Amino acid sequence: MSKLESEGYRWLSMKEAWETLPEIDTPAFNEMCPGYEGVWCRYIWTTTYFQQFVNDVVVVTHGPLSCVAAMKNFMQTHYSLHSALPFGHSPCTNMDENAVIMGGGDILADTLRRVDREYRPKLIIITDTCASNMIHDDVNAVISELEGEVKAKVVFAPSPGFAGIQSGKAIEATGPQVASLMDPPQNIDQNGVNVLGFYYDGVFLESEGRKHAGSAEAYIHLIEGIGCKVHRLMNGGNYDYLRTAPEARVNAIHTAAWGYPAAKAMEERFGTPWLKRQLPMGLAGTRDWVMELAQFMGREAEAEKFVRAEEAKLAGLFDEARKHVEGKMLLIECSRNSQAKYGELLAYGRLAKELGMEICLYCLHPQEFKSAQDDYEAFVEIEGLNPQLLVGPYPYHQPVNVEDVMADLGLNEDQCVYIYDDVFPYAKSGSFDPSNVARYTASVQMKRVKGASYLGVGYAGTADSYRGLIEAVQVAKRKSKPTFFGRVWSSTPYEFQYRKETAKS
Amino acid sequence: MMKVLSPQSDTQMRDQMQPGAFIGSLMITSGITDVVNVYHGVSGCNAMAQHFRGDLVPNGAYVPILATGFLENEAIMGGGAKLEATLRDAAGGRVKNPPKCIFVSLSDCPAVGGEDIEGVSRGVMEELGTKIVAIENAGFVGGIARGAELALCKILDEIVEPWEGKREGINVIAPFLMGSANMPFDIDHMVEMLKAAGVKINLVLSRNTKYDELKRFAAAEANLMLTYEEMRDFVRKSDALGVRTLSDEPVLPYGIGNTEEWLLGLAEEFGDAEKAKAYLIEEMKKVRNILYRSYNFSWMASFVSDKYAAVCGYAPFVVAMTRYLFHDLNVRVKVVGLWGETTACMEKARKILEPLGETMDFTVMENPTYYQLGEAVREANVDFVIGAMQDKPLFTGLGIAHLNLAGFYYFNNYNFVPWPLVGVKGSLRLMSEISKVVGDAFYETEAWKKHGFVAGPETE
Repeated sequence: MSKLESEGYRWLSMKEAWETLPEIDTPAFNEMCPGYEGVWCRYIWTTTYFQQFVNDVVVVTHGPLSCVAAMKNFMQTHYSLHSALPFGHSPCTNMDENAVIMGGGDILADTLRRVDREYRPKLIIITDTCASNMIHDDVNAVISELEGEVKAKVVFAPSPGFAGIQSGKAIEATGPQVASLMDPPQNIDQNGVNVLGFYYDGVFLESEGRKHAGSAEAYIHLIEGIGCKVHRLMNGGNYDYLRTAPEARVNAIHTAAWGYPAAKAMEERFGTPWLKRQLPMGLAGTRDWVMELAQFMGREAEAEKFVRAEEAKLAGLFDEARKHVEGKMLLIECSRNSQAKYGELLAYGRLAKELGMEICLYCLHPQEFKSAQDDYEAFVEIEGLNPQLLVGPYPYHQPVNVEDVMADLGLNEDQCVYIYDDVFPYAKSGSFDPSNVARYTASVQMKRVKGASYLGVGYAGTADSYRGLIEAVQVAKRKSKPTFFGRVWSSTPYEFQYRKETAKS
Repeated sequence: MMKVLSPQSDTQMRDQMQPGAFIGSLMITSGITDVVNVYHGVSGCNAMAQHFRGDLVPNGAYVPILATGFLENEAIMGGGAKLEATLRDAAGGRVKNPPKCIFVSLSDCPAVGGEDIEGVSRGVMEELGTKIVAIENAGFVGGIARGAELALCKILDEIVEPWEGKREGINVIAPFLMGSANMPFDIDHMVEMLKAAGVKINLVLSRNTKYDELKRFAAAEANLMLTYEEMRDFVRKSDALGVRTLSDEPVLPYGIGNTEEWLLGLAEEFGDAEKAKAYLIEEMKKVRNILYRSYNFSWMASFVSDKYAAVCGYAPFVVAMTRYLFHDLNVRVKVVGLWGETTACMEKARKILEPLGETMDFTVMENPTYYQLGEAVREANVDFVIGAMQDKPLFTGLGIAHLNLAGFYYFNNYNFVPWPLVGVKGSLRLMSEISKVVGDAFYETEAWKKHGFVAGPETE
């Protein structure tokens, strides 16, 4: 029995895992996975989501200042620093014990008046928190009371932290909320295409001074490549940009997690049709995305020509990449620390399969997996991707060790390529380091390249991923001089130490 | 002249970086190395707690925060059972050797729901014999200073033992409330300086502190608070244990002028002033050995002189930094943005800054919103701002160079060299940091981009 097996882990296909795991937030799930707590909360997901609207949109928090700090800590550091989002002003009602007991309607009204007067935004979005929601503060009544007095449009996006702690559930709730901010279309641009599903990726281009591309350029390239026009990239832009989003003919999808909920809500509200392919990465993945759009827009011929030309440019690189990675296993570590993400990583999995690799996923918390209905639908039901997933207890979110995963699968260092999301990737000089196991930085947070999407979408993103994989395999042939990171995490940082230990064993 | 503005004094609305009470408590308890924290609440709050706890890691310890897994179901049905199960797991050493003590913190949701964390903790403690201290520290009960005070009070109530012997030395209280992003290395050097000046350190509450050491809190003569916030409950309880709290503690030792005042003041009262002077002289010799007759130093010290700056962050750090810039570097500070939780904090900061108004014109803003602060700084037309990582996009977005020395260590503050900003030796680091922001503020990079050399057309 392997170590993982003895600890209660087992490999299931994603489909089987989906069908056999209990419903989220049930006693059965709690027993299976003790100490599951989620990653963030609905308030942070919702507020950061709406803070992607810029210039004339202000998100007001009705709750304690602490909630704003929790959100701001990410929003004003990583999101702004590395993803081209400007500083988001975050006025807050600063709810205290008194307001929790007596109600916070007055402080909310005062805050809205002040924000309207001082910040003069076109749109104010109110998000609420555990405290204000649990005491049943009537936010809508306050909005009604201020009608006529406050010039900005004011809307309420309920977001109590506790309601849907699983990331998938919290994110799903944002779809109808963002659609409710939009106006019914006056005219439909028959050539216009929206791309939904951007999250913390400012719609700001390298040509405008961005140092490392987001994903906007990739979609502009794909959509204009078949003779259509990008109407809106959501979320992004100012209030006028947002409110006129329904004037596109169709909604295409960037990420299912963020895009599907908004697309469903826009379809319901405005009748905007939407397409289900997402994350165009890899030759096949990009072709499928483009052709689905082309079929809808009646531009198959242009698309076929465009795709063929782009594929021809990448043919040599594709073959080279395939030569390097074919037959290897792509170890997909779905966030060692948060265990919540797999959508973007699975798109790398799709790309890897096309190159002749096998793929498996681990460190994805079963409750997070089960909450992400849209990712599952996009990959498993629509694309038919059904890789092996390591299901097990992950007590208190403790990760499994990738070396145990390799042992469990009977793989050696030359048979794997390791990708991960977020931070704290595994490393240990002497046994698991970029110098001896191929490692590619696919993390949404960490991957930044000039001239290509940091999510790897589009043809430039695909090319970059191929180059990255080739280089990773080449680096892993070194078998000596481990990285500083690997040495820091290891109890045998020096080669003389671990070589001695290897010799002993 | 010093002009004081309190733009938010007539409203509860705020827009500033102020984590809630449970963070303050966890920053105190996470500096105690042989304990475990249990966090009972929603994960968004805990994400912040786990991250800020990381401030204590460099040259410190990793003290786990074990979450009870409070989900929507618990918000409706109550989460006592999960709290109890987690306390049992923690006591049994599930994530760390069985701890000497478990501290329980909670978030808004269970607090509003009326969860009896004290009762559950008491029950498990009686059954298992592991010390458990529950702290009612939801985010809405106050900011980090209030949370720190709640934890300190619990420690005094439930852990500290009475002291009958001679009281000596000082307790250094709540280092993270200084407001320095270099806090781990600053507090370590402050302790080093005090020891060199013959001041006995009875306890640092907390930094690499052992649980058993907490018991001897009352053996100190006095508490040195590293915050300007009023902590009335803590002071009263400490008085009852026979340990007074210094009410007029000196400005934090950032820069030579502040360090001289700080160390000699404390040495005179609790240590040996002569030793302190000898130490300061030796330290200055080392600094001069690096800077004296250095062309680079002379260039930068001259370059930075007479420039304009703004500073924002938690009051103790900002006050010290304002004095440092003005006194040590001859920089004019035009805008001072102060964060603080209590009136006493603002009064104290004002009192310290006021004498500067005799020789410099500047504006002090008390708890401004980021928008108000940004506008004031923009209008003041300063060359650079010293603030926190979280306000870098604001000021840089306004086209003003920014240096993140304030706030928390965690998240994109890359201070890996264990060198303090405080003390005489800290002046070297401060000078190096200021030199970086001078580069951002004064290098004419746009001109380089616009007028850089372009090779002529290629010829056959």
